[in-house]
Amino acid sequence: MRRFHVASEGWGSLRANKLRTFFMMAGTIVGIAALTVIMTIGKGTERQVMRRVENFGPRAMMLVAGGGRATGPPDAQVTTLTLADMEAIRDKISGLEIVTPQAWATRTPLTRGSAQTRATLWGVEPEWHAAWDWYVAEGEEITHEDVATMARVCVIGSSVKRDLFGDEDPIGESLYVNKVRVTVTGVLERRGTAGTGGGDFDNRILLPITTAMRRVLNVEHIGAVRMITTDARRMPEQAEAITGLMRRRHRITPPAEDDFRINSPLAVAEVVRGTSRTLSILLMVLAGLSLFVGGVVLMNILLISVAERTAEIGLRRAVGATRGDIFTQFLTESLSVTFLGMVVGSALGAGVSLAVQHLTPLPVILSWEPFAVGIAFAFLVGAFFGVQPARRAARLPPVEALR
Amino acid sequence: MIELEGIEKTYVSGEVVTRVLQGISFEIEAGEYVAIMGASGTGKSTLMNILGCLDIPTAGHYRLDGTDMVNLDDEALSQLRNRKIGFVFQQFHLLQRTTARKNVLLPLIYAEDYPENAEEMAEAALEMVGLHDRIDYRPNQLSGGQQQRVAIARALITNPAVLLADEPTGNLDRRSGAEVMAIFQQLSAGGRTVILVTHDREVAEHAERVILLDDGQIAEDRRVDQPRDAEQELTNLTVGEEVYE
Ligand SMILES: Nc1ncnc2c1ncn2[C@@H]1O[C@H](COP(=O)(O)OP(=O)(O)O)[C@@H](O)[C@H]1O
Ligand SMILES: [Mg+2]
Repeated sequence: MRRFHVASEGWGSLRANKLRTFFMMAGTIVGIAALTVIMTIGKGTERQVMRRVENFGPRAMMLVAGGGRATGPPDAQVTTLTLADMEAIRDKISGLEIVTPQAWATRTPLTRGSAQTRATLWGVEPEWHAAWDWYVAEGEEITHEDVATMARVCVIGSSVKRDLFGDEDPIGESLYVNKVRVTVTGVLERRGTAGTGGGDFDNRILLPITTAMRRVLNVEHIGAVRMITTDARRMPEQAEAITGLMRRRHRITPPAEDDFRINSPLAVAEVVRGTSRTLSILLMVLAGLSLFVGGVVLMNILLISVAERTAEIGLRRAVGATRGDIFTQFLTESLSVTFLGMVVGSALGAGVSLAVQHLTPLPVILSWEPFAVGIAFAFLVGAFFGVQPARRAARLPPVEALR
Repeated sequence: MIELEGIEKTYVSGEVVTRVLQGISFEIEAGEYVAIMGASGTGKSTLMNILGCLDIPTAGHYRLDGTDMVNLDDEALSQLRNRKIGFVFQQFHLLQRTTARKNVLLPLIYAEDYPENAEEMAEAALEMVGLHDRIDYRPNQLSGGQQQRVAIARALITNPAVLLADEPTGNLDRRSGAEVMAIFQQLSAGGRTVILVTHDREVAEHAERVILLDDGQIAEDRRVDQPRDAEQELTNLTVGEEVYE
């Protein structure tokens, strides 16, 4: 109880000198606000990484046509990736559960009577479904027989169904892909959008790969090879083996740029994190600088205040304050400043996070963690920068302080 | 109640050795009203700081109520000051931006147990020094005399064994000074031990006993046959004012 009354003496001068208190708090406010924003964006980013990795497949790899960047759809003008490459991977790379080719075309016109739309076209094998863990919600999947016979069938995404068929049952109905008439055998489960900058996953049409390459696109190359590994831990080693194999087959020696790339959950996560990384680093610098500079300002104002309040300290000692009591009072003053700054900074940070969420595509998640970290930092800064002034105040000999 | 035995205080800074107190011995009984008098620089304040347990003598013994304070640590000395001693200073030493009430109850914050009726105790102490209508005033809203009376109320709130006053009238006009001296005489009449430090003979002669310091030693220790009556002086001052007007 005595402790409490002694400590609460530390608040008095804060209330009496509001402007001074504000200057002591400013650094903590900005620092904690920046920390809060870093953490809300960080948490949002990690949630998005998880979702994107989940979407991509935690055990999946993609060999994609076109080099020079990390992710994105195949480069349309790169025609060097072939079914023979895919066969070579099947033969030479061990530990792969599924290896399946995908032919690809973007914004392919689809028509049915007067209704028309554009969708991403994928030529696939039946293994595509297992490779993407993505199955039909209605009707039938594409079969080995469809591939063998270049059947004029297709499976459509739910957005294509909506755009071309409305509320009608599309199974058994037909539509035109590039003037080639195909019959709908199935409709895919809904997957929704792919998050930041991502397109509509459900705006797609699947054809047997033979039908796609020969009848619709008239090409000899494919866009990508989808692979599922038996053991996620082997992925880096397998990716390296595939890179070596592909460079040999395509006669590429390292200074020259690859004409393919390999996507993995790691690469996907990297891309998602990359968007917020620069901002996070900037904010981290801001937070560190604010907390440090703010702490130094706090310490110096407290030191000045100790000098100005020498007589007060002497008087308190005269009426019974111990050295410890004086130390407690000034440390409480310092901690009160940083805790107050923490509360204001957390609120400011939460506000800025909400603004970021509304004004930018960056993912943001508010939670209690930034608040806990804020409390920890408020304590650290308040204690670290408050100790020296408090110690100086406590060590003043009362006789000299009263002179 | 107060026993000093060969008290010395020596300051050493570099080559310079200042022997401020050079063997002070005396006793003060409970209920005495003593003035410590002497020219400026003779070591009165130094002695008072030792009497108030704010400072420790270089040599000698000081027993307050039987306990020798020379060997006590900071915590014990602080507790001793809080429980047994009330200070009044020339510069008042009130906390600015703080009401008279809060100033007065400050010593209670450092008491072992904070009394539940601290606020009422502060009000009562202020009433005793005639400031019942200034309870929530801040120092800058009070005259010098009123500020010193707040300081006296603060010194009394813990009901200390000894009241120590160092030049309490030094910053006051005659009238306010007389008011303060009247309060001290009242307290003394009520049985409180009062030690008054002053360079001014007139002020000292309000006490019943005068200890004269000269160059760090006791030059004289005598009873005052006819202590000056502060109450009477106040009345005279008032009469004088009326005539003047
Ligand atoms: N910390 C110190 N160091 C050196 N000398 C001091 C110190 N404090 C006081 N003195 C000296 O002690 C002497 C007595 O001072 P003080 O007790 O304040 O006298 P008084 O109150 O009688 O005017 C003075 O000459 C002063 O200079
Ligand atoms: Mg003096």
